Amino acid sequence: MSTTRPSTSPAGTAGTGSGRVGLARVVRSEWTKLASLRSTWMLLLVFVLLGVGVATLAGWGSAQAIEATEAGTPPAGGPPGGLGREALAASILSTTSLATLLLGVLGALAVSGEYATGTMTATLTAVPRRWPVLVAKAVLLALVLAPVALVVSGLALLAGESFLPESASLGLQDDGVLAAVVAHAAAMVVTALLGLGLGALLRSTAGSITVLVVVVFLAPGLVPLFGVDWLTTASQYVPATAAGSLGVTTGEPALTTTEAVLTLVGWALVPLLAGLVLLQRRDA
Amino acid sequence: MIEARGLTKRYGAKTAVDDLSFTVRPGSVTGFLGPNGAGKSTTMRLLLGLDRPTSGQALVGGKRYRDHRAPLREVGALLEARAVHPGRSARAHLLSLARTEGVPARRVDEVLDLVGLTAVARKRVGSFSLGMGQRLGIATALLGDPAVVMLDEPVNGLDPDGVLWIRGLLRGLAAEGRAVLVSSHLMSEMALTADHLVVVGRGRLLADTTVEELVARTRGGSVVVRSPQAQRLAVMLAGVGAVARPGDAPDLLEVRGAEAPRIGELAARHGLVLHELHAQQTSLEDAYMTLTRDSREYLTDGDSPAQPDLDAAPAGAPR
Repeated sequence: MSTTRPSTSPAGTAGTGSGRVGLARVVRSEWTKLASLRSTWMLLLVFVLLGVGVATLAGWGSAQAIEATEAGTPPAGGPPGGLGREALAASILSTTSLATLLLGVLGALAVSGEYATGTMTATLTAVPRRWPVLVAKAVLLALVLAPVALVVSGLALLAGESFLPESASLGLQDDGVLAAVVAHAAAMVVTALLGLGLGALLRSTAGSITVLVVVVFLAPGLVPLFGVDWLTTASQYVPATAAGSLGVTTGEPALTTTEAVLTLVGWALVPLLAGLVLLQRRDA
Repeated sequence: MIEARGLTKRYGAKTAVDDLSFTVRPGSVTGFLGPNGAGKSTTMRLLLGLDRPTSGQALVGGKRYRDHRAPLREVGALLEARAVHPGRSARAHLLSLARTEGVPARRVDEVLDLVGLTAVARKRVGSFSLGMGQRLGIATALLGDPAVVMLDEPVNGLDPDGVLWIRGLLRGLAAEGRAVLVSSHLMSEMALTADHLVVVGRGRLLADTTVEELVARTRGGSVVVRSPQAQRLAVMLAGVGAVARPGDAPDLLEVRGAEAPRIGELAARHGLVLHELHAQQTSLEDAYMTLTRDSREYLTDGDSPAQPDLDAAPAGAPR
């Protein structure tokens, strides 16, 4: 390179301030990392488009089905035309689980990406106590994603509902609707934290995404098909089912409110705490 | 100041670092030498608390690294070149590290300037050459204006300009009173920059010495003599207990067991003519090879008390 300079003094004139490592500073550091990657913004953009887009399609499909039913020609195997307004709202919201998966990937990448690229070495050299790194990532993800998730969850509902005839539609002011919107937003943030925890536990992007797909997608839909009672019961304790049990629901809620809240909190915190313990103990 | 005390790291059955003790003092460049796989990088990871020692202590500035509350100001380290997310810019990478201790952004620009990366500061690191990645690693190490600088193979991937620049940088850092530890598997490179040498082989300390001492210690002690009366001189030398072997030419001798002054005096006493008389310089590379070869032999002979014979016999493959 032609930019070689003979200068040897690293001290220079700027000085380096006089700060100790603190959690607030590590959060700022993590924000710099998160915001400086194009993949973060791409994932968030796709998350918004997918979350609102799929719900819009679901609303439009339901509207078609309702129209057909009223015209006396219910579509075979199509979206249920005979659902109540609450169930319609709940099923529109449930379609956001596809987008939710992306937030899990974002969370996993926040750690596994550092291991894959070797950045973790620099990170843990700067923060040798280690735990502030993972705690800061969790705090940051929650802070950044909570408003985005609320907006996406709310827009998804409104966009889906906008196609439904007056008699079948609900608004945010109706009973249980806001609760369901908040619950689905919570499930999105929970999934991001789950991804973060998995990333810390497995240190691998592929491994983390595999577990995410199983937990977020396959477990609720696939496991009941096995017909094993205890497995079916167990498969209800996942973020998507928990979110679907709060506020307006498609039928009888699978989980009580307490169970649902504990399920959400558990998926967010248990893998994260396990990841925290391993981060402290393992060689970096 | 870096102090390693009885540092040991085992990965399963493999011992990467074996009871290693040494000190790196401020104001000098300490070369950390050893063949690939000798445990240099592992030792640096232990010093930085990235890996936990199986036993022993690693102290930096009198404390374990992880007990420092402003670690970047204490130690600046370059471990792996290009251990940076390829999608991030050099500036963002440095800035994210600077934020952990409230190091101001202008210091980031300053170190970027110091390593000559200002022009590409906002480019994604993925587009960097190996040498640019190495420079970014050095910028990272200097970010906190640290008292201790630790660089693992910093000249790897640098062009000749860059190698020269590193040498000057290291000397400058030491002159400012910092403790500098630089690893390399190239003896010749260390000879040009280091004041002190810590040589390791298979995780063990082989030498903790200066460059001059190392050469002196491993010198073969042979003297080259050229004389038209070489055969008579050889007989005289044999009489005083030295061994003279004929060289490539008929008037050439390679003498062991007698220093150059003694040979000269002997020749003078017997009226023999000398055309040439000089001590054979052992090159640093030779000295280094001798040291590391010894360590290899020591280990393959299986006489290490830490290694039970039962285990060593089937596992090892002695020639």
